[in-house]
Amino acid sequence: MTDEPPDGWMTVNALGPEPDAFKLLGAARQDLLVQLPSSGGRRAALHVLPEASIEFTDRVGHGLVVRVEALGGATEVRLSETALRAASTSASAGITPLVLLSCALSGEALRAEWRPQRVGHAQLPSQATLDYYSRLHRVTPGSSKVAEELAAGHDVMVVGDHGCGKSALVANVAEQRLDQGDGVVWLNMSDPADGPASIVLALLQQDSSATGEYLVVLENLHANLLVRNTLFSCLERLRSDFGLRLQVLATSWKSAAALLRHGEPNRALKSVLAEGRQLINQLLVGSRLDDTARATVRSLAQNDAHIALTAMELYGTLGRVPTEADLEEHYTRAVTGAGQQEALYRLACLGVLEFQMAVREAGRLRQPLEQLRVAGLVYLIDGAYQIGPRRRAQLVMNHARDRWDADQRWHRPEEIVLMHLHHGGERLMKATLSRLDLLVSPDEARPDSLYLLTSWDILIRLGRSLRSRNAADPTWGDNLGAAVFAASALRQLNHPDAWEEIANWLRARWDYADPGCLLPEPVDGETADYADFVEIQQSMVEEDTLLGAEPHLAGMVAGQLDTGRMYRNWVLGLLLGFEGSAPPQHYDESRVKQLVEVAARAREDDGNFYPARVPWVTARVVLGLCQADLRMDHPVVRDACNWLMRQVAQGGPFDNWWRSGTGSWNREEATTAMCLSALVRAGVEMRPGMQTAHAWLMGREREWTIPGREIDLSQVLEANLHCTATAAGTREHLQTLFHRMRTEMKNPTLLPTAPEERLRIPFVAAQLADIVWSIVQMESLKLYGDLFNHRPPEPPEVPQQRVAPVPAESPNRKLLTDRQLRAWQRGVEQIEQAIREQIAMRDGPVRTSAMQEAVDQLVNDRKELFVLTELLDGEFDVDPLARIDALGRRICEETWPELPWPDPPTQREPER
Amino acid sequence: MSIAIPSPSALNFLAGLFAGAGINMLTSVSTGPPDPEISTLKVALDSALWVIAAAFLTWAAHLLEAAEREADLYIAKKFNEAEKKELRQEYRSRALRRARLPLVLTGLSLVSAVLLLPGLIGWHRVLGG
Repeated sequence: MTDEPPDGWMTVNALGPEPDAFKLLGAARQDLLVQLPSSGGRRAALHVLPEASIEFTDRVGHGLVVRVEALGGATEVRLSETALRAASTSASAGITPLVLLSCALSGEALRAEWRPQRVGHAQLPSQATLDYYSRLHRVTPGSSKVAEELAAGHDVMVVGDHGCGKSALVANVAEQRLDQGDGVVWLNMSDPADGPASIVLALLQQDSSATGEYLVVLENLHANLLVRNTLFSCLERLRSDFGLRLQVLATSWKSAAALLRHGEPNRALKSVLAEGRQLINQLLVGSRLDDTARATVRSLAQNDAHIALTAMELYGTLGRVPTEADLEEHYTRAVTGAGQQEALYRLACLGVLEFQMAVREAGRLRQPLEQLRVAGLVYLIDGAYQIGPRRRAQLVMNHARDRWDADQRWHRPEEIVLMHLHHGGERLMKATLSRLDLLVSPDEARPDSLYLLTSWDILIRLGRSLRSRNAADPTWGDNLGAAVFAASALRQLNHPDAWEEIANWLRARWDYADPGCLLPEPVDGETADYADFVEIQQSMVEEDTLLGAEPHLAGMVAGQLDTGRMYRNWVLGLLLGFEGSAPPQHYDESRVKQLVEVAARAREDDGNFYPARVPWVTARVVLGLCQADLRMDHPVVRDACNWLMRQVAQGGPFDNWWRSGTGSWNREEATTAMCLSALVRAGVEMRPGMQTAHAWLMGREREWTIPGREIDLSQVLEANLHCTATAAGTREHLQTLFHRMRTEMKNPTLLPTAPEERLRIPFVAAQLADIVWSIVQMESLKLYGDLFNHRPPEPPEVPQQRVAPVPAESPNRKLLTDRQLRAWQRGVEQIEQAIREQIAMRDGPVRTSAMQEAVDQLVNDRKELFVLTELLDGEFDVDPLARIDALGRRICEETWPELPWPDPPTQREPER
Repeated sequence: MSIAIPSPSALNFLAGLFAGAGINMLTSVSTGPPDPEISTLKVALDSALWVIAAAFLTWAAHLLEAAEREADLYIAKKFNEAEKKELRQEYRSRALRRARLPLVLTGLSLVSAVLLLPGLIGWHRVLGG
């Protein structure tokens, strides 16, 4: 891939390809001096002296030595020849000579292995944004405390919830400082490219302040915890080397603040709590709203000052306090056309998790986003489009999902966020993972890291290793299993080109296009892994011999096995998974449809996939169907899952857990893990039988942790994750698995005697990628609460009772419509999420008896909810609904929505 | 049984008094008429002990204050009153354990300072000088 030369290197680029060192350094010096802002007697905060010297030395290589000075000191940095060559030839990173200098000054080692990476720019918010902040800002106890601490010469960190007015407070201080003649550097840490070099770059570009004082604003410090150490080290260096009088004013979540305070001793940040409630009170004091309207605004705003301000402004036009629906309308006003709707929805989904959309990433949405910006519905700050505060993003997202059918038209919010992370590059992913590693929620730091970041690093290396193996042989030795699992891992690790290479071979190797075909058929003979199934049959014969006269539980002896049919059923599951999870640009709906039709023809009468003796074949097909986005509402999935859960006595495979049916070839632990994963992924609730199997599986830890059984271990970890919906019990074993895979990558041991070995690495890699992604999704949802799940109550389809009926006075049996049922199910999800969050926020270093009681109460609530959920069906007693409602009101408090109550049967079937 | 833990502001107030006493003593000796009966060195030592006692007490107050801040950051909105109260108490108790050393040192400095007060005990008579 050729890279266009970046801007700012005119003289260097004029030299042509591969100039010699002397010419390169001379030209680079000229390019650097051109970029300096010190013309016309101006002097930058960090002033570059024009006499940059060229240094030739064999010891550390040639370089350009630049002297930079400020009022209180000076220092020299060296721009190496290799770094200059790398920076001047890579346009994607956009490293200009001045940016390269800021990288060097910020402490980056510009050695031979240095690779240019984009550096974010520290820019003050636009005047319009500052004006908005000044409308929002009021003097509160928090703002007075900030002023006091800053006056005392301390560095300050403003902590608080979303929408509490942190940024407005900081913007107010920044404006005051600018008026005094101080310099201000404003860095929004939401862009993962923002870091120490961004601050240095800003100081190199902006004029020296009149007072010699500088305020460095670090907005949303929690967004990129990875750079916190280098950032503060750089600030210390700027103070010590250049004598710059810098004061730091940061904003952050409460939980991240605790981490930052526990950092290095020289980081004496004073935390000041900003409370949305106080700011809203101050905003209301100056308004003309009466007491009732004020109370309604408070309740609507839920401590979000931005919402309160909008509500007060709308009060003037509407003549009443707006509702959430009014706010949604207001935030989506003047949106016309599908393009603008999609752009606003996607930006809202990202905004809910405080992500932004950089202008260069916007692509085809650039034009609609620009139109939205002009209409005042989105903002362009620091080279990225933003929707504004999180609550606003949530309202827009909900509106889009309700009114524009956004889920169906442009993916679900989780998918949009994950796609953004996928395409956002390594730094965005790492910043996100480090946040998940360290924080449970905005209020709570995590006592033990999840090691997601470490896991991700290893996964990246694993992906590269798989890609190089794949480049050598995309058929993986004509082994279908290895190729499919490798493709799955490569897709998840963002190597779509490698996936395509496998697809080209695989789609030509297996045929299922014939409308009447019963199973996929290989082209030009069986694929290599068929040999495994021949050995599997042998293993089954050995098992039968050991069983003696007792027939196998499934009633089938190995001699009756049709190996080809079993193999093709297994292949069917793999192909379903492969095509169902294809990257968007390679997704072929007709192939998925054909495979689903084949699955419908291939299943046995009782729902299983041949042979009934080997349940993992059925589980594999169910997993494939799930990857093709089918769940329990599809008859093939439902029947297969029901069969998997059927007891042996009733002709099923389940006997408190699942036996492999293939002798010693597969272990019972792996089979049970696979069946559990298949059931949970298909959407089967954790039934008592599944809980028993899960408990049995976890009790067999000594078996599945034996070295060499990585396939079993990865399957068990995935099943445990799905069954418990928490990463807590997975962490330690995940580390073990990663450690073994790292060793495996260093010293590959391919054992030709064990055919399973051929797919071990691709299989485990695919599982690991799956597990890490699942943890990321689970923990993201915990970190950001029930934002994605919470939706306002749907509009009534029939007149609804808004008040909980008294069970004693109304007939007990009621009917819920599908819509009502879904609303209650969402309510239950909300309660579950709230309970999980509340337990997590008490999971800290201190646990008192009152906290223990509260946790016990929450656990009991969860049990009660579980029982009530079991009763939640189309027709049932009103009492459980009233109990769910009471539980919701108690646990979710003001966020609990009004849910639709069922109509008494008398309204539907009048008494005769 | 819960221990009554002094508040950081009370400790800071006391520290202010001690420091004031020490400095006051020093200024009165330096600005007042010379008194051959009173050793200037002893007064200087006594005033230093008062200031040291104040410093140790400030240290203890700082530890308690830090604990309160920790507790504030830990306490979430959803916690009930009993939890909030117990958490604060727990953090304070922990801080009090950490503050034992500065408190003991404060006590020692204070006792020494009181004993060295000029005119309170005639040490030369006690020690037979």
